[in-house]
Amino acid sequence: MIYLDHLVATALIYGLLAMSLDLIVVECGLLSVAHASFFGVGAYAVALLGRYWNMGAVLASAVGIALILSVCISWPAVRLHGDFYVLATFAFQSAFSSVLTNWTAVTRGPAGIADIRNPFRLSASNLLIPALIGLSILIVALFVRVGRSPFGEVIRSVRDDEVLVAAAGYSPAAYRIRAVAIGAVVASTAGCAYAYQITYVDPSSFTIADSILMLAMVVVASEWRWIGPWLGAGLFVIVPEVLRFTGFAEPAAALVRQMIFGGLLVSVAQLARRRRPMWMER
Amino acid sequence: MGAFLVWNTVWQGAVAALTGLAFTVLYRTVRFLDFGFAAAALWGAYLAQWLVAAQGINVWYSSLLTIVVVALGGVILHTILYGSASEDNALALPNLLSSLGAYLLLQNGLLLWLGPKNMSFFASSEMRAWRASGQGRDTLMVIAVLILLIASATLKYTGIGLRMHAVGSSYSLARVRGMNVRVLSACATALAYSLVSATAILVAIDTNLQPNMGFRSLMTGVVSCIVGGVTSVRGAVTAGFLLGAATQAIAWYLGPQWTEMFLLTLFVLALLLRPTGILAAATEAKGLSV
Repeated sequence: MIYLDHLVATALIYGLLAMSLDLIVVECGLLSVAHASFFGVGAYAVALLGRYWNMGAVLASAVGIALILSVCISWPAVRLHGDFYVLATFAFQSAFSSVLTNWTAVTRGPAGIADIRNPFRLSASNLLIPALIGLSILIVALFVRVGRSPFGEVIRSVRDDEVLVAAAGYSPAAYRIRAVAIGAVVASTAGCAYAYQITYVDPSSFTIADSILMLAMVVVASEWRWIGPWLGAGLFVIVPEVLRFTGFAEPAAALVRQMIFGGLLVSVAQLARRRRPMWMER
Repeated sequence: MGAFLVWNTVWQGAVAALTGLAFTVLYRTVRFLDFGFAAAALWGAYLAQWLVAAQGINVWYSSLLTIVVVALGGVILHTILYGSASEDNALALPNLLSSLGAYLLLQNGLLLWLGPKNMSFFASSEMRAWRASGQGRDTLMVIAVLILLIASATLKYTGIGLRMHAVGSSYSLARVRGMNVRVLSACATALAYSLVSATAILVAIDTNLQPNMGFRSLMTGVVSCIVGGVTSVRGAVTAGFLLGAATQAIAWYLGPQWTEMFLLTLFVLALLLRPTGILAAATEAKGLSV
């Protein structure tokens, strides 16, 4: 039962992450490899502040920091396109990983922070899963609503033709910043849930490779709107379990999982070259 | 101490310049920044080490063989994955995604094969002593500078170097002028991958092999390339040496753990303030960005 709980919680956390990145990559057309840093902000906020503050204050700080960071990165970077935007997010993600690894006085470096208190665990039951299911339903409903609202239409128009959007009196940069901020807020919330679930954080879960994996989760099923990110996240959670039953030890299984997602990313990119979906026309 | 610092500064600069030049070579022709370079660097270093340690082949033959294998691998990879990358109507994002996927696939494939652990390049104590000696380190330096000079001269002063640049400037026009654009793209790819693998081998001989060396190489190369001006050979080389000196100074005064942060800050500033490159600005204004 604990094993199943862990799988469901992980799938929901990565589903939320993929959903938030989907808004940035597929809806807004910004290819970002910095999403693991927003995820890390949430996780480290819980690890560092959770000892002193209550859960509400911790969540509010995690969301606040992610919001500020997202604006700090996207405000100057939205002027960049294609390769250069990817490079800016790559630099931000690398800097974030570097801070987590080297600022040992605060983050404890590669050793990480253990024994994180999980306020959702009450005696024998773990209330994190019902909370995550509720949060996921809420976020999906919110994203569907946003997607169908005028705001969602403008976001997609910014992706498809920003000159037209500017001519219509909207600011493409402002809409991009908002899309990245919404994605960052959801990712940091998922990071908080991750820290509560695992009760341990270290820099190895928030690296550039993790950001690329998140990107792979989003693009593998990008044709199925709203469901696609959840399918990608489900695959991400199921693959290591399948590998476990085929006899791979943990370090090798992690490498094989990354290889599988790398292969999926290449396959999707090759398909996209022929089909030319709108979100890649930049 | 002073001589060691100077040596280290020039060495770091040469390494940064070589990897930066590899990115520049590819970007000038194929017009995209290949994240697969990280995997190429790792494959270069580990394959050469495997040939030396497990197969008992001489270090120089192993290095040459590895460079050829990685260059061929790069050409095959580009032909399959990014065949039309330099075409005028090619999409940038699928190629970027492909290169990110190739990076994950190739890097983890290698680590699965050889194990994700730090390794010494040489098994024999005799060779380790040679590496640590002044003669060994000077040999590595001379090789790095020679490769840098030959590659830069090839790009700037030969017909093939100019034609490779022409493909990047206008794919259609280059084809209309009768240039074999596919062969020229393949040449640029082979040269770029050779530079990356050669640099990785030199670094591995100097400081041993680490599973994250590919990522470090990627970061140094991208920063040199962007700071120097994406398509400028002179800019990439100059930026490489300046970065080498700056990182050495940061390591000396603040500690080696902050060099990465410094590189990334500089990179973001360059990207935001002048995406075409700080050092390329002057030459581009005069129309001399070769």
